[in-house]
Amino acid sequence: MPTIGQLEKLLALAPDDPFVHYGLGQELAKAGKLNQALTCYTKVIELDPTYCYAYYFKGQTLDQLGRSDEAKEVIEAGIQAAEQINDGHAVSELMELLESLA
Amino acid sequence: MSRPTRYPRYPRKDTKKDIEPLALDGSVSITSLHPCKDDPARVTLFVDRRRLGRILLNTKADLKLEVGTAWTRDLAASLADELARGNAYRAGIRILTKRAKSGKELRRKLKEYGYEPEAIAWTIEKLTELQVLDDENYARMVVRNQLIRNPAGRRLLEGKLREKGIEEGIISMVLDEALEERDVVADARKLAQSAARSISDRHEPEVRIRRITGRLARRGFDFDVIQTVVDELGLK
Repeated sequence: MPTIGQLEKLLALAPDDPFVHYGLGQELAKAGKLNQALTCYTKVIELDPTYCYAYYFKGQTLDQLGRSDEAKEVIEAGIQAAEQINDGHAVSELMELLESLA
Repeated sequence: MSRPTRYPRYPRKDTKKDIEPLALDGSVSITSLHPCKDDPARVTLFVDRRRLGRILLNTKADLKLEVGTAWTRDLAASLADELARGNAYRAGIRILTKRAKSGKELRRKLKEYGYEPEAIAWTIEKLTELQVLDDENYARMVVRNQLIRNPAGRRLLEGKLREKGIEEGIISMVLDEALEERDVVADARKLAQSAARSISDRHEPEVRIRRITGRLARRGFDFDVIQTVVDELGLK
């Protein structure tokens, strides 16, 4: 995997690419930098509201930060986004996450 | 719970094949020239609401492009190289976001995705110049990761780096650097001891020695090092 430093360099070259924000979010979360990861996932959703898995990981991160009510809201929004683009797989994974938080 | 796909929106393989080509007879036109937030010198070109890629503001001005300009064969031809470069460049960034790669690996991947050789060469050169593609650092990272996981000898590491398309000069330099700080015999000894523990002592000593030797050889240790540590185990 690229390091956080490498991903930050890539992000500087493509700050409007949700894919790069998502990748950085994943690595930051792995490194336990949850607040920074949250910022990345929020940016992904802002750039591409149909990026379903950003809702998944944003919800998961919020839950890890003890903000479970916000997590549920984000996951519900993700389910709507996934339904909108007919991504059944994402819907089921988001539902599963939502149930695990309930 | 199963973890979802990490990169669900990874650039799909040559999506161009799935899409109906744009008409080049002027029946469709430019629908948007959207400024790029991350690059003020470029705009994103949309034709018939389809994103074609980025072009320089200078190109836009030179060709007098605006919303409503008819998309013709001549116009498509004059923008082809610039669009191809921009698209390969963005794909390159996405590929490197998912996994660090050597220049050769990135070249291979972009080729597999159907980008033009000239656009690929330009992308590699550009990303190298911007220091996001760096074979030397990448080789160091590969070696570090290999050595963290399991002790390994020079031959195995050389093979891994060659597979990744790293130049011989870089391989030698990086391995000299990495192995200088390590005690190769101690690494081999650690692996030999773990192998000895995992091979049942019901086997004849020759069988155990053969298996331990094989394991060390597959991890790239030289014969003299293997001989030393196997002798130390005193299995004979």
